[in-house]
Amino acid sequence: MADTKVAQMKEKVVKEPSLMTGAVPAKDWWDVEAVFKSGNYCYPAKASMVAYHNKNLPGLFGEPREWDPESDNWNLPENWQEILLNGLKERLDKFRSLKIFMDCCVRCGACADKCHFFLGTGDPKNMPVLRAELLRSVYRNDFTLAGKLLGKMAGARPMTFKVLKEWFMYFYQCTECRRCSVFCPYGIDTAEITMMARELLHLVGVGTNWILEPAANSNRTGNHLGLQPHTFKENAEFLLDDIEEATGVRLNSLNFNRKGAEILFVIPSADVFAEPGIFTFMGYLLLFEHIGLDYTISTYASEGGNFGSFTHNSLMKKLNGKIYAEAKRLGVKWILGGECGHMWRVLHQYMDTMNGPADFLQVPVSPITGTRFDNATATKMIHISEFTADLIHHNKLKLDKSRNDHRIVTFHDSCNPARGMGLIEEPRHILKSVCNNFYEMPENTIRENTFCCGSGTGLNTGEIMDLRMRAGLPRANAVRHVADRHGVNMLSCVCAIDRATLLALNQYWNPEVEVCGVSELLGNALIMEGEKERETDLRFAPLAGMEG
Amino acid sequence: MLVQEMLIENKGEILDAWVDQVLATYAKDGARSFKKEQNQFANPVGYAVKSSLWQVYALLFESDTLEGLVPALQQLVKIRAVQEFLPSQAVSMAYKLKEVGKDFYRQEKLEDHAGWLAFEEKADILAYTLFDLYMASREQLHKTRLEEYRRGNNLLAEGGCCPSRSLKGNNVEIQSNIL
Repeated sequence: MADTKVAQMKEKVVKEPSLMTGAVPAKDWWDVEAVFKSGNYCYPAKASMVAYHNKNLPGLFGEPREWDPESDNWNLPENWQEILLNGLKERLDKFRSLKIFMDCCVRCGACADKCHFFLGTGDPKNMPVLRAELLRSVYRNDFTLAGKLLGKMAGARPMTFKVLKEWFMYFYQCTECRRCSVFCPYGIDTAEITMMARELLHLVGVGTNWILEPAANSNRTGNHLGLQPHTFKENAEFLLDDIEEATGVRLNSLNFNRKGAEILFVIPSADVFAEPGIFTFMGYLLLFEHIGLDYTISTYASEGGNFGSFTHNSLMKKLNGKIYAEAKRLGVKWILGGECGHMWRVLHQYMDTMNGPADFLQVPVSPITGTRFDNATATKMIHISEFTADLIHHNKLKLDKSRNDHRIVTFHDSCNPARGMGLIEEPRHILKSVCNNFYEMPENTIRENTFCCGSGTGLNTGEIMDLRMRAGLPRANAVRHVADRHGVNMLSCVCAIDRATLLALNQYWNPEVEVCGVSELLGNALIMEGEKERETDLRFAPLAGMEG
Repeated sequence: MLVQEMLIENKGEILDAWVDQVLATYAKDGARSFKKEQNQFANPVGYAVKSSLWQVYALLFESDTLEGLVPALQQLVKIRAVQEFLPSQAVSMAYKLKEVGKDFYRQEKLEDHAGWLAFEEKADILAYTLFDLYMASREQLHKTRLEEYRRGNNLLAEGGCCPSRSLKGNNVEIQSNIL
């Protein structure tokens, strides 16, 4: 005779998520509620941070308050739905791209399995098409005739608290990496849909602290940690001692806020205070000394990374504006940018529209090779990899590749430089010129098809480490492959967030693989005038043959 | 027919059913996608489930040694340890193997009690191994979180009661050793 209790339990597990089998309820996607629990959401912004931003940009960040995503009461303003719908209307009128993206998706599914969040979680709402549908369904309900008349039948649904929770859950499980856009036959840029959704969420005070606090710091002191000018300068100068110890050369060219310099150099600020970014910074300085570049670094525009771009276009514009303001104040001719990710999305795609025209600057011309970078005619700003690759192409650098022989290197195309500005061949040209051991990851995981680190757009925070590990799985999986096949032990990249987050990603998935910037490997290989016999690299690891 | 013979003769079908059951722990649309895509880089979860279970099956029922069981399971368990599963769900693969085995045992109308006990014993070994690997993965994740905290918050991590003080290579310890 069948055991009644077991029969009852089996019945139960078919219908509910189960301790016994882990079965997932088979419901329509919009009947499945977003459930916040410790570990799957970023901490909400502190009231003080919201108040700070509201002072500068009134009305864009909601009422300062304490709230808990796990609670059913987020202390929202009474008219929060009205605020959101008005906000959506304003954006539909203002941004033609948003209107098109809302209308033109034919749900072909080409994007469905291209998102690293989907590939790591299997959650259908992480399919880009469905993530966009979270916003699109509300758009249909209130802004299209079909939606107004047919409601649910036309894929429309009203803005409810349940929908708001989904927005906060899934628009913070998108790193705006744009991989899905590569596969969309209509070129729908899901990153811009996420940007709009996050703007709307901020309007009703739903934002995260790991984004709003760095954005506040960047606004106040110029960089995301809030380092004041003298600290920023001291941190950078401190690295000169390390360079001297590793190379025997004391660099003299590092300078700050110098009026009349030819070039303003803007970096992600992590490069002056956090490992392994500091080694990348040492590489920049060695290069500039090597070629005698006339440059300066601003302590006021000391953050290339733009945390504003994860919140609202006005804050993005405000933070980005510092770069041109400093270029003008210092009287430089053009701007050189360091290895950073979303900084380049903002610079390449929005800076000219937001804060241009930079008619007080000149089209960048390399003072060493004479190459004119016409691709930067509008922004007057080029990437350090473009600049370096051009120097190498013209044989202007003395290099000893063997100094990277202790590294077996692969390259992670950082999403924003690769897909946001087409920077694909330049870093590879550098790597092949400074390393003897370079191996590519599989073709469908690099270049335009690159997989995100899983922690961009302000998601690189410790409270969601599980989420970051599953989002970064597709990238880590490809790294695992070259580590197994070729013994790769160094993952290089051109992004500061990558340098921070790939470190954690590798520690979990591929503990034997370290992370570095491309310029660090360049710094190892550069033969400096007056240098000592090099025994270690810039991070004091012994060179090949010097291990004893 | 003996259980061992059944396991060899029906290998493909049993593995298909086992893989399906494990994939069924994901949402329906996710499972469909994980099942369909064959490229290991375009589908790391589906590939890990399939390749891992095939390797494990061969080790349990076609090999004289269980050496290689841990490497065969490692990536799959690491994946499930960071997905939104309860611990029991994350390591449920062994129990699913038993369920599938039971279905085939009934279907083939076998009466090999000793063979069934041997099968169960192997599934139990799998369960123990999965549990150990799951805990090791969670421990690794914990260390990853602490290391990141220490990298970003040197002063706090080293001065106070932060658990990252217990990590190897703590600067305070290094300093006190030097002094």
